[in-house]
Amino acid sequence: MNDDRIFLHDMKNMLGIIIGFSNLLLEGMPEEDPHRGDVDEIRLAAEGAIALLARWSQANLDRVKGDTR
Amino acid sequence: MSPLEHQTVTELPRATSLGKVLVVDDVSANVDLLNTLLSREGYTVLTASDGQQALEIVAREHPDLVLMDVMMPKLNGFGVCEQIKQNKATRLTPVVLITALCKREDRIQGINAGADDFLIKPINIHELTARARSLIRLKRYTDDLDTAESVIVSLALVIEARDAYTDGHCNRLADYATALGSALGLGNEDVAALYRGGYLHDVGKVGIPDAVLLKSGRLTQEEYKAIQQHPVIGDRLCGELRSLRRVRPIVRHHHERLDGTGYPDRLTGDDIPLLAQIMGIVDVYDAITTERPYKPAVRSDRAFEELMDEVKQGWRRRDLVEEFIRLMQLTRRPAIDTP
Ligand SMILES: [Fe+2]
Repeated sequence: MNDDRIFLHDMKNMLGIIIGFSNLLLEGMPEEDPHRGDVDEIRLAAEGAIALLARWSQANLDRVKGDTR
Repeated sequence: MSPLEHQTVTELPRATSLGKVLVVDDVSANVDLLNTLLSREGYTVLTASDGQQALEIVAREHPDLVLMDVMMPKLNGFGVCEQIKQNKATRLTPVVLITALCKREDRIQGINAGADDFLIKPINIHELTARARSLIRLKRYTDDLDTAESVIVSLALVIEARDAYTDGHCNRLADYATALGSALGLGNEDVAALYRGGYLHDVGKVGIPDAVLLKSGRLTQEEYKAIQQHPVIGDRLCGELRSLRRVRPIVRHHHERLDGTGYPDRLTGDDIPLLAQIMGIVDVYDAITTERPYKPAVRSDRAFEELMDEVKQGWRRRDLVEEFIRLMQLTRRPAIDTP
């Protein structure tokens, strides 16, 4: 369980960095910059990964509960 | 003048920094990210990559705020926070713990370590700067209080810390109340009283046992009576302090209602001091929009409806509530990471 927590923490940490820097890039880019879409994809993928992670940890939690029942 | 010259004129460095923020994280990319965000907003940023280094910098540089990751090798964020808060010279330095997990136990451990606030990764820049701004403001405020008043303010923050659910409540109330007061055109002294009132309104809860204050089930009539004593106790605590003269009516009357069904003095209509009415409105709003042991958090539009219901019931002044709603809708900023 503790290993899971550390994994979850570190993973979210990395994804947070990706999202944070993507946002910074986007803010510094003019509206018409052709690379905006690409950076947006990076950010969206990282956000998707965080959502996946949340689902994974919930499923894990349910499984642990099921085991102890 | 060439465009270049013009640029150097407009981009003169800011004369004063908004404050000194120490960022602590063992992952250097995180430090870089926060450093970039905060420098851009006008803060002076110091950085540390582990707990020991953080403690040294706090002692030497007296930052206005510490933003710290919880999970770090060796000395973790909780440990560092505890040491900052146990040292007399640094205990008033606000500490915000940053965690990638939003587990309730983490928050409780953080509150026990004396943390002033929490942020959850991935960090939202608006949330970050809002917290930084209000905590630094609070620090400046406590920096120049007389000792007696600062004791009462710390007392108020201790009460807030007793209940994990009211975490940040004082801070938000001070913000909402001063915003509403300024929008209504109140004078500086009144707005300042609202600010202090935000922190002190519930100070009387020190006199109420945990078993009652934190109870999640239904309250017995006696317990309810005990809770209703908190404005009276708070008023007495502020006692003879000259600096709190304008704050006392807020503390005593923030639970009164226009129709006389409030407490402790069952005042009606205009007999309820205006500043206390303002505090009452923002207190209700914050209570509704925050998660509590007996209910989940509610969206702000639902809270606006409930406030308007209270107007219809004759509890609150319509003009004040409408102004507050207008203000909240105006200042509500979209999160930066919404597509
Ligand atoms: Fe209260």
